[in-house]
Order: sequence, then C-alpha cells, then structure tokens
Amino acid sequence: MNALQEHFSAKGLGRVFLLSLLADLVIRPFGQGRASTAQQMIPAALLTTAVTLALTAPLLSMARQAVLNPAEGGVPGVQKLLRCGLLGLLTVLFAMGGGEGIVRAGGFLRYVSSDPLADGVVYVLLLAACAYAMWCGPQAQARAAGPLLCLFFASAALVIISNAGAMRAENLPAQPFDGAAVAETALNGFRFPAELALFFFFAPPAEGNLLRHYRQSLWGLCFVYIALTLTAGLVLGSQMQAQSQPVHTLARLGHLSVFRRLDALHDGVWTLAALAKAAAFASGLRQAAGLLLPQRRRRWAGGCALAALAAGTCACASLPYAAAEGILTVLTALAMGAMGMLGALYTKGGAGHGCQTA
Amino acid sequence: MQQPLTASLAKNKAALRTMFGETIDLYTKEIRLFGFPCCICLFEGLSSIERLWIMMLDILSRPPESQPPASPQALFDFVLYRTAIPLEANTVEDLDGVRRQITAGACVILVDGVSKALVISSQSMQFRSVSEPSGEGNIRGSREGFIELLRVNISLVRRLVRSGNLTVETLTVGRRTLTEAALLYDRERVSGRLLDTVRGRLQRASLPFVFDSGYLAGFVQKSRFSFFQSVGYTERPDTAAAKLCEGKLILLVNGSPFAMILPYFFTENFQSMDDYAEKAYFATLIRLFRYASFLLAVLLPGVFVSVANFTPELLPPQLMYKVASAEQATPLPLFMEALLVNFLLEIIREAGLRLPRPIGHAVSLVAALIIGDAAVSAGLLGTPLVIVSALTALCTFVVPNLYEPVIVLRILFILAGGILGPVGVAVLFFCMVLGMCEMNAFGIPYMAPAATQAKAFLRDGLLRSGWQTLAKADFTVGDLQQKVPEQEGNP
Repeated sequence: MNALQEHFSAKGLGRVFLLSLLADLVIRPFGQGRASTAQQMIPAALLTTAVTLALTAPLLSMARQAVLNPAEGGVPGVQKLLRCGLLGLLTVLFAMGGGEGIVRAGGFLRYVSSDPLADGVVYVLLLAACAYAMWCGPQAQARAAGPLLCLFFASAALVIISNAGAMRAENLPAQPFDGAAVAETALNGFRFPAELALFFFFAPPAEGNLLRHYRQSLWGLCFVYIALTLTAGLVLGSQMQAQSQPVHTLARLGHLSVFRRLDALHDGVWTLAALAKAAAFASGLRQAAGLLLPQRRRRWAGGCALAALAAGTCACASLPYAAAEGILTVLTALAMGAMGMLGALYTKGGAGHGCQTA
Repeated sequence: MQQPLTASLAKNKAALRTMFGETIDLYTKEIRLFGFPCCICLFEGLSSIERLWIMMLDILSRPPESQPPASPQALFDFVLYRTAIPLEANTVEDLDGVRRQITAGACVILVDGVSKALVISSQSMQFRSVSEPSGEGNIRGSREGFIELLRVNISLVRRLVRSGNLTVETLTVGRRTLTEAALLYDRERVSGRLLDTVRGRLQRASLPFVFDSGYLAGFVQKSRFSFFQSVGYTERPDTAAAKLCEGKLILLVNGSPFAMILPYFFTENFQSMDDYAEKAYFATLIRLFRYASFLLAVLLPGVFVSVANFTPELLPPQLMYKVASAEQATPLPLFMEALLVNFLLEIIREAGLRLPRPIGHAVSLVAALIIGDAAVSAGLLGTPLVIVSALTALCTFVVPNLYEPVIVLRILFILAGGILGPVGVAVLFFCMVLGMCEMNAFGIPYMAPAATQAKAFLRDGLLRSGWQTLAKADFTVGDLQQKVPEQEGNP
C-alpha cells in the first residue's frame, strides 16, 4: 500500500475526530459572544448535532469513492479536474485548519499563563510536534488518540467533580421551552468544523462500521458539551454568558481538598488535545499535498506540508478569530460538497473508469 | 568454499594446524585402532581425555567379538554403526565442520584412509551452575536462571515446555566469533509471518562478533530510532516458556544468560511471573503501582520543575511556600539543580555497578553523606528536590526493563519543564506517546494491546483477570498482528 494512502482504522479515526472536536470545545475562540443561557444551549446542541448528522452522513458513503484513488486511464477529464481541484481545496483547508488550531492553542496558553512564552516560540513548538506527527503517520496518531481521550475524559470528570460543591440549583431555574430562542442559538452556533472534511478524507474505504463511529463521535461530543454546559450553568449561573473561556473558568474555580487550583492540570491535558487536532490536520495536509505533487516529487510531501502548515498558521495569526472561522466553514462546506459530487460521479461511472480503491 | 577432509591423516592434521596456528590448547594425539592410524583432536579445557577414554577408547582397546575391520573404511563403519560408543549421528566431512565440533567441546577422530571424521561428545568445560538470576526476583516461582551455555539453556526451556511443538533452530552469528545461537518457538502457535520476518532479519545481520543477545537487537528491530525497544530480555526459563506459549520467539545466544523475546510490548514491562501466582486483585494493584511508578519516574522531576517555576498555584499553599523558600536559598535555578541531582544519582549507580564488591559499600556512604547531608546543609541543593529525585530513583527501579528510556526521557522532561514550562512538558509528552504508538516492529504495534484497545489489555495488560478468565482466552500475538503487512522501510 502506498504510504500516502495510509488510512486510520474506523475506530481510530473516530477517536481522532472526537478528540479534535473536544479540543475546540474547551479552547474556545476568543471574542465569541454568548448570549444564550444553558437552558437554551443544551437543546440547541442536540438540534445542531442532529442536523449535522442529517446533512453529512449521506455524503460519507459517497466520499469513500473519491479522490484518494488515483484513477488512471479512461477517466473523464472533468473528474480529473475536479479531483485536482478538490485536493487543492483540501490542502488549503487543512493548512488553515491546522494553523487555526495552533493559533487558537497559542492564544489560549497566553490567556491562561501568568508568565507566557512568546507566541513565536509556542508556534514553533507546536509546529515541531506536528512535523513529528507527520513523520509518525496517521496510524500512530490513531493509537495515541485512545490514551489522550482517556486523559481528556478524566480531566472533564475532574472539572465537574471539583465544582460539585459550588453547584447551585437556583443558578439554573426551570424556564418554559422557547423554541425560537433554541433555534436561534442553534443557528448562531452552527458551523462546519474543518475536522469534518478531515474525517471524510481519511475514511477507510472498506470499513462497514464507519458511520457508526462517526455518529458516536458526534454524539459523544454533544454529551460532553451538555455535561460541561450544565456544570457551567449550575456553577456560574448568568455569569456564564460573560465568560470567553467558560470551561477554563470552571477549571479555575474547581478545587479538591488542599489543591485550591487545578486549572494548570487541565490546561496541560487540553493542550494535548489541541496538539492532537493540529497533528491530525498535519497528516491530512501531508497526504493531500503528496497526492497533488507529481510522482517524482512526492518525497517532498512532508516538507511542503510543513511549509503549508506554517503558512496557514501565519495567515490565521493575522486574521481575527471570527474571520478565520468563517473562512474555514466556507472551505469545509465547499470541500464536503466537492467530495460528495466527485463521489457521486465515481459511483455513477463505476469500476469501468479505472478507479482503484486504496 | 569449505575445504573438504582428505583421506590422508597427515594432510588433515596439517590443515588443522594451519587453521588454528600454533595454539597450545589444541590437543592432537595419534593412536592406533585395530592397527589403523587415527588421530584424536580436541581442545583442552573444552573436552576431557578421561571421558573420551571411558566412552570410547576403553571399549576399543578390547578385542572385538567378531572379525576385526580389514580396512580404514571398515574400521570407520565398525566404530560408527556396530559398537555401543555414543558417537554423534552425523560425521564431519570438511575442516569447517571439524572446527565447529571441537570448538563446541566435542572430540573429533580422524582415520587415515577415510575422508570423514567421527565426532564424540566428550565435553567437559567449566561453566556457571544454574542458579537464581541476578535480576527478575520473585517471591514465588522458579529460582532457575539461564547460564552462558546454549545447550543447557535450551534444555531448561525444554523441561518446561514438554509438548512436541517446541522447535529449536540453530544459527551462527558473528563473522569472527562464529557464535552459536538458537531460535525457539512453538510451531503451532507462532505466526508464520513473524517467524519469516525474524529469520530473514537474523540472516541479514552482519556483525564481526556476538557476545550477547543484545548485539542482535538492532538488526531484528526496524531501523528507525526509538527510545524504547521492541525486544525484551529475560534470565528466567519460566518466563521464556510463558512467552513461547503466547506464540513469541525466543533467541538464545551462546555465552549470554539473557534470552531475547520477540516481539516485546510496552505492557510486558509491567508484568512479572509473581502476578500469576498471586490473587488477581492484588496482582492488579501491584501492576497499577508499576504503571504509576513509570509515569512518576519519567514525569515527576520535569513536572515538579515546571510547576514550581511556572504554575506554582497548582501546589497546595503550604507546600508551595516550602518549595519557594527552598528555591530561594539555593544558588542554581531549579531545573539545573534537578539535572545536577539526577547526574549525581547516575554516577553513584554506575560507580556502584563497576566497583569491586569489597569496597562497594563505600559508594552508598559517600552518596548519603555528600548528597543526602552535606549538599543540602550547605544550601547547594534544596530538600524538596532531593526528595523528588530520590522518589524518582526508587520508581525507576520498580521497572528495571525500562531503565534506559526512563533516564533519558527524564532529563528531556526536566529541560522541557525548566525552559519551556507546561507547554514544553505537554509537547514532549505528546511526542513521547506518539513515538511509542508509532513503533511497529514485526507487524505488531509496540503499544498493543493497550493502544489498539484489544480485550487482552484489560484481561492481562493493565489489569490481571482471574485464572478462570485467563484460561479461557487462547491468546497468541498473532491476534494482535495488523491486517496490512508491514513493509520494510515504510514510514
């Protein structure tokens, strides 16, 4: 098997996907306003997850046919062009996605540290970790995702347990269900994270339980989101809406016995999750860049991918967070659409056009 | 091309002398058996004339019951097939075969007029007796350990695995030493792919000399650098036998009491034979302690330095004041102190290992006085850091198989924590986990069954299930093998 076509297993891909999304959950983009209460955010999360699944799950089987397979001979020109276009789009998307992850992690570390390192040093460190992750490959990342997920869940559980003493039921009074407010909250919070395109890109072609892992990952994310939002609502009450990093605030407030502050512990674990996310994008970038390059230049795929990731980091560092998120959402939607379209063309064309599965 | 023996006894003797030079321990003696000239060749110290006399010469010195042999070939056939002398079934036909036999302690008998030689096992060499191994101590279980002699080691395993499936293949390694090695496996349980991979790598291994099984480790593993090894070592025959029953391979090398286990997984570093003799709940608890010890040994100094310098609020207030006051009183930055203490501990360990036993106790005295008392009293080192380093050293000894990677990683974590703080520690930890998960010798991930989330991890990896559960699971390493074959040099 070509090293550039190396895939995650379905289980491993699900874990990497979930870990990347959880990193986004705890390390929020700065400047993102929150006008909703916990009573609105929880049903909105359920709604958003269901809609995301409904929109993207049907594309999954079609995306399997797509662009990783270097179709040779007899392929209609339009499919080849679409394939190159999609790979280019994915390269840009993964570079921006990885860069945004690195910039967001850097910003978070600057926010939580009393004596932060220079941004440049943090970016170099994270890029170095991504370079090493590219060298190790997707299968190593899939295996590493398991222990890192366990650490993350332990951290989330500790956040909840350490704040148990501060939870007040009066902070979260029962409210009549406001469908319009819930829908508005869902709409405001809805986005296509770049991790979706990553999942589809790495989807192993012959695994039948991929959809199950995809659903489990999204619902797992929803469950963690609900647990943390509920905790934040019970502890912070109306103050939750004013927090730029509400989960970090919870971590900051939580204490256990003589340990008055545990946030540094959680910051370390969340940094690992952010690293796993950036590393996953780096691997995707390497594969996409490698498939774009001509055969004789493919040994430069790693270097080109690292350069692209660094460029993506610089680009995201110069953009406001909201703008970077907006660009990523648009790119992801385009990439998903293109993958679906190409996959549908392959399905329609069938094996006679020389498509090879990985 | 191997030089064959000739029918001329004189030429064969001359060829042997040319091969071995004027070495004084080569013993050659011309004798006559039934009137035909013959020559005994052996190495003094490896073979015994007395045993040779008892086994052979005494029998041949008596007149035969039937007609004596009439020609050299008849003598050869008579001795080989029609006497009760315990000769080796295979004769030797070339000089290399003679070399191989007499350097193994056998005696070779050349007969004038025959271009073959008889071999008789008259070994009588000095070797260490089978005793308790130096490491891998157990409360219960066998007290036997491997020794330097290959044949004895093979017999120790054979005694424990009495099924007919145990297979022993011998090979020669080392161009100059021509050391004999043996590959042991259970041919029903071993994976064919694994066996072929290991065999191929051993055949391609090119070393001038081999004195320990560890010399071959770099050749049987993948060539990519890693702090950890995909092969393990054991001095215990019962451990080797247990690994054979899991479908693994055991490599024994003549001259080394350490058997190499192929493949070896990360979780096996935390297992011991005692685990299976104790109750499951206690064995599980001890295993969890071992995992915790490993993490403490690697992470504690680096995390301590990072927390003390960058995130002191993580410590309880009383502890934070003590650490801060200790740090204020010492001249060096905390991470340099940590490096210095670890450096001193390593020097003490190395000195204790190399020093002759009669003065070995002086090392502990000097260490206790200098580090434990004088350096702290003088304010050169802080007490909290000495305590952390001592605890770390103790944790390191809980998992001795991982000593080398633990020491190096610890130093890296101290540097990362001291210079870069929590970010450095997190990045290094991520890279460490990734590096361990990347290792994939023999087509089986090093972190299996942990990172592959196989049921075996909970059954006998992190925890230890009861024997009723373990006995039902017919586990072999082939179960963990990846569906996609491993490619040589594939990143």
